[in-house]
Amino acid sequence: MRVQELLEALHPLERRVIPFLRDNVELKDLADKSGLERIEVMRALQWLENKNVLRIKSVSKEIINLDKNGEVYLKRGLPERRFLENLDGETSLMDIKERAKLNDDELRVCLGVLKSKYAISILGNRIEPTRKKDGLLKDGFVEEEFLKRLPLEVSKLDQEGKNTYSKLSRRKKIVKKESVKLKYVDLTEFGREVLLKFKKTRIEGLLERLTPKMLKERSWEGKTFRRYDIKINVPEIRGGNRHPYSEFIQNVRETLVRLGFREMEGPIIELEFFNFDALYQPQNHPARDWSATYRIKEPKHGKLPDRRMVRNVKLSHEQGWKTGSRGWRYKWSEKIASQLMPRAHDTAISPRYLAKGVEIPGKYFNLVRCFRPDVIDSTHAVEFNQLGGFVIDKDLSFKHLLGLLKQFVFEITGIGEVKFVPDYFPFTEPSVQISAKYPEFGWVELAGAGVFRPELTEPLGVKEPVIAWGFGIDRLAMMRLDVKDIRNLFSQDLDFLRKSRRVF
Amino acid sequence: MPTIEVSLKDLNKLVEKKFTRKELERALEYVKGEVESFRGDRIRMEIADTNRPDLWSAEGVARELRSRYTKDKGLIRYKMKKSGLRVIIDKNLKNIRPKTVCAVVKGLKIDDEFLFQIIQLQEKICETFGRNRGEVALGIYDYHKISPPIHFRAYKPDEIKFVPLDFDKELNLRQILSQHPKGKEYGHLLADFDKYPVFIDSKNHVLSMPPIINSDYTGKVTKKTRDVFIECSGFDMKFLLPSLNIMVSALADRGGRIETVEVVSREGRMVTPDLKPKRITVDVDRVRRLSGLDLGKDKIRKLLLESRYDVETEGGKFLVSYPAYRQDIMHQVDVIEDIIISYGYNRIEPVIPKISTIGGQTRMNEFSRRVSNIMTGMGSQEVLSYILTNRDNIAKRMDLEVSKLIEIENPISKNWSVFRTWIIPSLIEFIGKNTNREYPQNIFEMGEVVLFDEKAETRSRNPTRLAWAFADSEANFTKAKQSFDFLMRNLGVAYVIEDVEHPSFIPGRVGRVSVKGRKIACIGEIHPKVLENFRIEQPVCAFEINLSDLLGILKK
Repeated sequence: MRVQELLEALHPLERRVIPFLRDNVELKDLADKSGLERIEVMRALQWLENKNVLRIKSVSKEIINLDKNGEVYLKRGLPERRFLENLDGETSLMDIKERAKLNDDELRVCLGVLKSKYAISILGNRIEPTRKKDGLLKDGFVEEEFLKRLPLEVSKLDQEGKNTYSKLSRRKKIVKKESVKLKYVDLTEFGREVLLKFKKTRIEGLLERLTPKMLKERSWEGKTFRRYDIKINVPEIRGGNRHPYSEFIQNVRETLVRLGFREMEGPIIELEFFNFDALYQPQNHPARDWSATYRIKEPKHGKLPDRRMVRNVKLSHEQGWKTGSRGWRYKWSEKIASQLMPRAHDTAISPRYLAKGVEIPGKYFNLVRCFRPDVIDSTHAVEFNQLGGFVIDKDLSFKHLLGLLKQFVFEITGIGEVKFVPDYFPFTEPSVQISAKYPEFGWVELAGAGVFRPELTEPLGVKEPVIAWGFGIDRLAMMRLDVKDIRNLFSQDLDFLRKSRRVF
Repeated sequence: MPTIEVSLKDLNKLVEKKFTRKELERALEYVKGEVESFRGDRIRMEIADTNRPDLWSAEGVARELRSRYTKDKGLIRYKMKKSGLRVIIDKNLKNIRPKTVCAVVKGLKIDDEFLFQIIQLQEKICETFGRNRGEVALGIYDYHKISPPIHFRAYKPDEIKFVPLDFDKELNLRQILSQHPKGKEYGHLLADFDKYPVFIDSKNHVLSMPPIINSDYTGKVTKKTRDVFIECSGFDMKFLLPSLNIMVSALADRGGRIETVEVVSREGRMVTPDLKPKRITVDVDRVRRLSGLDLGKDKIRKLLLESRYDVETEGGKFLVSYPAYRQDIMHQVDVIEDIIISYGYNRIEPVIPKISTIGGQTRMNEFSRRVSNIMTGMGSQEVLSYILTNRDNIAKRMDLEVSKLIEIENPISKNWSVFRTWIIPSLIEFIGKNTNREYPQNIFEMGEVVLFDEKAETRSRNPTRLAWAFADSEANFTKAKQSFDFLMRNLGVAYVIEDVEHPSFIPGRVGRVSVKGRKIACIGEIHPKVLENFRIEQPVCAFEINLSDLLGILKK
């Protein structure tokens, strides 16, 4: 900042302090001279420090100061002076104590001190001054001189001072040592320049806040506004924001819509029929176990859909129906299929749409909450989102499935390097898993996909090949949002939400 | 997903090819395997295919790798002879455990790794494929300690005693269920019966008590065992036959000679194992259409052989024979997947389907996005909660009686045991968790709730709701109504507000909002009792709107 600009931007407090600035001036000094409160001076100094005008040095010092008795003695004279002044010829201890107004303690000290200075001689209970008395009273006591000079820094005492301090400190509450923090100013080169210019330039009548009154009266005309320090930190404000995870989900939805996908929706409480049976998952499949899916207490059963479709699905499970399959070969139960359960995977939605009739060609997706009794840890939650869907057309094949996945991965993650690995899902054949190579994480499994089995599609009335796919959306979100624990995707910390950046 | 452990050295020996770790990782794609860890020579891998128990051992994996990496291709035809052994099933097992299939395998040279693999495969067959022994129990015995014929018969709990595996004293059947660790673990499978199944030989030596435990005398296989008797018991041949076939094939792959056993029951006699290959027809055209690859017949034949099938051509069709240990093949698509896997997924040029469609979100999500723009524009912070919550949060702590809740029968934690019926409690709970954060706290959430609905096919529906809450020393009804009004004005919706009683709110400061005669929202100041229940020390006002209903009204 140039000097002139700086001068124009000075805050009124800074203006009050600047005239008294010099090297090694102490904060208290500045406060006294400027007539400001210490806290005001401190604020001004900090601003000036930010502007590189000065440096604030903080020095911790040990200071010797007067204690309670010391203050009294400074006014009334030390006890030994009073003792000596009141000692005329041989006197009894009682008398001198009375005359010099000493307490027992002081009396005892006086005897010791004056004896060591050879100013008195003691004869039993009586005291007599020596020849040295008058000299001592005339020249004064070094201890008194010392007290007059206080406060003094411990480190600056000379040998005599040290001796005196050492003697006084043994007496009752005459001196005390205290540690104080003192703030000093050191001017910078730039600061000296500013000071020089400040004294020469008279800047007066700078406008502070622009007020409606000034506008109305046009009183601002011909005047200068004080410059503000625009680099200064300002307090944060709170705005309205989306939750980062829901914003991420919204972005994914929009990406899919851009790719021509239509969104599907389905019930949270689902029939086992759609969650499993219509997907050709046999009723004794381990994935249908109590431990792998949630059950609900009430109501237990729902209504199965269209009878003909249910019959086709039943036959498909039992013996393959007309699909050319041998089926799972077991007795299929309508009662099990009509049980209700919380949707355990998003794929439950696809057979609903396939059965209802879809556009051909068609592209469909869903992004929904699913529920499973997983043991909760950093990668497993009891409630999570899944992204999935299908593409249907008459000539679709496995190579299209791979093309589609590769396109998804690129559109959603921006990564072009992918690899395919054979995988298994009960409802697709062939099945595949796609991994993408992240520069920071290496290979990461992102999605599973496959061609729906004919035992699934044909009973629902679908003749065309259907490519089904599903993405681990929570995992993608964790990587994108830099969240290490899946539970934090649903963060309940308001500060985290307020401070989180938007995702793009 | 089954996880198995193998030794790299052992696997290399079985395949007769030296794989490095890296090569092996690639090769495992043929068996849908993924390495979980390498520890010295030990490899732990996950096999993704839960329908291929034949792959759940070193022998099974090696079999598939041999056909891809060595000249040993096509179907393996295992030679068998008769053992002369008979197993007789007693009719008293009819409702208890009516079926068994058996085999004898001779000439085994068992080392540590072989023994490890036998036990692992047995475990995987029984636990994973056999549904924790519910469908399949498979036992292996020292053939020479058995005096034929073997009887399979039910005994009363106190009628018979034997020393179970790894025990040193005789226990009767009841004691085994109550004292042996395996008895405690699997006893529930026999809980409904007053007699228990037992394999016993002609000298009254008990072989085992399936599906619980073998006897210590006959039912222990060690490195010294040369010849073994194997039985598989259960209810359903479609589980039992493949289980036996998988086990004997694995032993034969290590040089064992398979011999058949005659199983006699009231229904007749049966010779097992039956390793005769099965057949399925595969259309050339379907292979090409499903894969999208322009494969010649010879190429397809080659890929089939690499996948351990034998092939005969018949016009545009292949008559494909597949091994008896494969129980997963239901449809020709299962074979076609193997063809594509042998071809190599990563050799296929991915093609983006040229399909032109018009995309779109659900109307509800489209609407939600508009609503969230208005809410954030008003300065509100979106929060997200689980739809699963608990009864205390949505009812008790809200000072509310809620009768019809949809409740989880098998919750992992009580915290997430019911579906929320409204969202305001989620927001109040949120504020309760953030009492040390700066005020005002202006938050909203959009999401689904789950309500009973007798008429729906799933007896429930899940409308989308919007809830908003404001916590601050200045929070009051006016603030809530102002915010609500801001939203409604932006949506262009006229509404009527009426007094209503609601225990979660302060009486006289709560309203029900209707749009075109339909109740769609409530709005008010939260009752101090509720705030106390959530340890909130600032006033809170809130509203909740049924967005699904509102959208319905707007559409009309």
